[in-house]
Amino acid sequence: MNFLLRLIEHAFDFAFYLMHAFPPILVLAIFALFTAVAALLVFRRVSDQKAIRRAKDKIGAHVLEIRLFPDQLSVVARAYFAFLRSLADYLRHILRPVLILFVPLFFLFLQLDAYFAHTPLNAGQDFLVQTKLAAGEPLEKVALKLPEGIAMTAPPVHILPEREVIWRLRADRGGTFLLRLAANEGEYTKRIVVGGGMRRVNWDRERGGILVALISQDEPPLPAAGPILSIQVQYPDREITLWRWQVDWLVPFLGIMLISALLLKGFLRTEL
Amino acid sequence: MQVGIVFLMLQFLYPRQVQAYVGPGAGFAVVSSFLTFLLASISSLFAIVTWPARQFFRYLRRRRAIRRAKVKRVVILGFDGMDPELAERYMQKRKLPNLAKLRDQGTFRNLATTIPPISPVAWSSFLTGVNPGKHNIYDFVMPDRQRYLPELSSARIRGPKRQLKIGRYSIPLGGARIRPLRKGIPFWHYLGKAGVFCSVIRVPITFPPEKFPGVLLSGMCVPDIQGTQGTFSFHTTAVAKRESATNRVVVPLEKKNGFFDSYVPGPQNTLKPDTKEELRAAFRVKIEATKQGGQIQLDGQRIAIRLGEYSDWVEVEFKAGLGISVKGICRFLLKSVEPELELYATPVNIHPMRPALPISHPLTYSMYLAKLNGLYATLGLAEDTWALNDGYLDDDAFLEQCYSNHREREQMFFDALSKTGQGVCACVFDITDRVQHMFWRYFSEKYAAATPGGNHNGPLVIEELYARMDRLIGQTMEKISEDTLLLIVSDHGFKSFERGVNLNTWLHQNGYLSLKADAPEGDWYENVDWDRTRAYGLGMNGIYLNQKGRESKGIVEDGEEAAELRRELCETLQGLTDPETSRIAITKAFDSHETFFGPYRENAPDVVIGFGEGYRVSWSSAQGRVTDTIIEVNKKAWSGDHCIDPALVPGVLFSNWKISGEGHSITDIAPTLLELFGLAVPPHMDGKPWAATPATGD
Repeated sequence: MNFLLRLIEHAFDFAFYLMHAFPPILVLAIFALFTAVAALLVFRRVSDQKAIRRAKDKIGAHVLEIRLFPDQLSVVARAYFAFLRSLADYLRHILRPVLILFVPLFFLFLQLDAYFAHTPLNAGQDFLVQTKLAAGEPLEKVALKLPEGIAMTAPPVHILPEREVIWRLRADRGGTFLLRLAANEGEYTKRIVVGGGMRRVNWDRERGGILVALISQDEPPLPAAGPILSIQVQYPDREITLWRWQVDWLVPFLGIMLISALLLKGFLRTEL
Repeated sequence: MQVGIVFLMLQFLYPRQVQAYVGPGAGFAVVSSFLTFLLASISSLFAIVTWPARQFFRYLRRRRAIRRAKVKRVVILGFDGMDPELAERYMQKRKLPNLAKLRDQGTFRNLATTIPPISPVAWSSFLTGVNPGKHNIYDFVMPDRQRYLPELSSARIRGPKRQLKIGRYSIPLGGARIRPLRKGIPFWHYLGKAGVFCSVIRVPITFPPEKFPGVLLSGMCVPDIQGTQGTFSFHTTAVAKRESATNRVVVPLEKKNGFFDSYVPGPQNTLKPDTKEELRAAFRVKIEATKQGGQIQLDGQRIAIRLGEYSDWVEVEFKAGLGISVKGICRFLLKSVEPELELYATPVNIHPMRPALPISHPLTYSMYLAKLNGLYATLGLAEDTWALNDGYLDDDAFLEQCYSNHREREQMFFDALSKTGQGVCACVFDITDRVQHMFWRYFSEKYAAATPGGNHNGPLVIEELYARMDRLIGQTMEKISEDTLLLIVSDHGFKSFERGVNLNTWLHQNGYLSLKADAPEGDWYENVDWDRTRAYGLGMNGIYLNQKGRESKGIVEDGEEAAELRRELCETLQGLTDPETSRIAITKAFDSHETFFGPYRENAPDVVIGFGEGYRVSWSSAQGRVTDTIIEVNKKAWSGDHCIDPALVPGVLFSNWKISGEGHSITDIAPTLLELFGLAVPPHMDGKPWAATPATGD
């Protein structure tokens, strides 16, 4: 599993490397287009296309029925219930392909989220690192070891009720750094990425099982028996500019993917 | 698998932004489901909320009629060509229990047909209640008086009025112009205006569909995608070059890399009118190693075909360029694999979901039916009699096609019946006409042996057909109560067609039609010398005078000369005897001026021929050809006919109500319906209303 995850990560890293000169919106559009094509092909392959077509036709027929025979209440009522049955039938038929598509798209979205959700930290600008400790662990005994190129710009803040410690740091140059947190005779790391355009960033490292391992991607979960619950770096949010609006990456991605799928579904003979 | 399911369940428990979406499938499903749900809900709500108001206005419109109405619902089953003698014979054999029940408890009568007794003429009188002189339909075809060529009598289809010329393309600005040539107002227009809902399914001569408050699917005379009344294609490795004839195109199947390539012929490319380019849909056939079937690859579709079996309806797209295309539907039949590969394709029907021409009212009605029950035949003459007649289909394949179309029609009818709680539900079934045309030969062993397409069950085919119709009547009777008037009607009966009379040859041999010297014999009057011709035969029963001022090369003066010529033709032709059999080939000849009354009499054939039993116009005469012999033997599978003396081929009238009186005619149905629903019969109607009372009321 771990090997597979690493493989996926490397594949995406390579793809992003190939497109490193492109603006983020273009990279996003390329991924959306490929996703639409792949999803359409998979959807066609794993779904009962004839049954979906039949169900859609029935839905259309019953909607038309209501419009064609509005003067006959019993016909309208029958048509409406038949419409609901057909709609349920349609949803039943698309459930299987949607569930199957969920798995690859889940991994895809995780990968894209790692690139598009946040930008790397900027050199010369302050940022916060926040850790949350398990119950009973003394906050004052947590120490942060800074690598060369990262400096602390303010003393740590201890928030006792939340069991959190927050540091304000600054990187004086770009690169990938490893912060080390010492607590209860153990040492825990958190990678931070500074500068460099489209790069993979992981804002959160926390305890957890396979699910957290998937989400945390290139950093393994914190040990379950350790004193630290999570280490978070406050990366700036990446916002995509669409005309005059700043939007989350998911908006243009879904938009482009939906439009591409709509345009290509006829060409790829996929009934959605 | 189980781990996967648990994992997916966990995702739902741990939602994150990135998991909110699972691909275009789900996106479309959610969005489109929601939108259609919204649309359906709003439509239903609107229908329910406005229902009382609409009912109130309907009541206001027809309050007088309601008081006088004698019926709430009328169901009309039209069986084209059902013959009263055969019905009687099969009832006596106890093959038709439901018709026998109607006969015993309600009504069974002969129903007088029209002059001439041809479906488009008779059904036009059925729906308008007038004689042909007022509805303008005298045959399937009428003469183009300028060119002496036949043209469709029911509608005229022309290209769009304006076109934008860009380079080699002419882009149509607007749709095709379709002008109905049938005149008169159908009864459902009167009823609809009075608030009586009507569902009209496949009644002939309803193309183009006209607006009225009800639903209608056009029937006979709806063209195929090429604009013809049905041109099938036959694909074979036996020919190297394309061959075309009336109603068919034979296209070679060319072997290439293990595939056989061919194309479905389509309409002319209207974007390039100067080139007369034909649009084509290319396809390839792959035959299985077992030689029992294969696959057709057409425009990305893979259609499985089995030897001797029809495919489902296949969508065929003809691309004209500039992103413009025309869609139709057809079915394939793999006829043989060895020694020659032979594939039959039905005429390409207008696609009911994307109609190139309107075939229903409202336009969405044809779409509704297709979405509800699947694709269906839309062509007016959907049963391919030409293919059987010319030996491209055998009896079994033809029958299968007929019954397949019939099943579609039954579905439509029962859906319409369920939607017409009050009002009129009228549906015409063509299968009775087509099968009798093609299987009448089995009533005579000698005749059957002389014609192609043999069927071991041939003698029983028509009997089984009537029994099938009887079952349909039984199913209908189960769905209606006794206060619903059920009418079973046919437009004409049937007789055998053993010998054909070439009217043009008769006219030639009797000095009415002259030929050019040394001109070759040809179709459509190719060798006729119009400057010396006084009359010509066209269509199934018509003789037209070559009248000055009407025909482009007319020589007969209108008035006394024309009247005298009509009289002379009637007298000479009536009683024409077949020298070989000594039977009377023409029992009656009708002078149009004494037969038709109304504003469109001028368009009628000047003389209408009523052939005797066993006779009909010959194939060559119908094609405008002058041959050596006047009467010739009919050797085609098309062996039953009705285009004869109308007195010999009345239709049937069955009803669950008692209908009194005598001399019932198909023209009476429209005024009867108006009166039953409490409306005044318009004075121009020629039919007379019947007195009908529920059978239980006796």
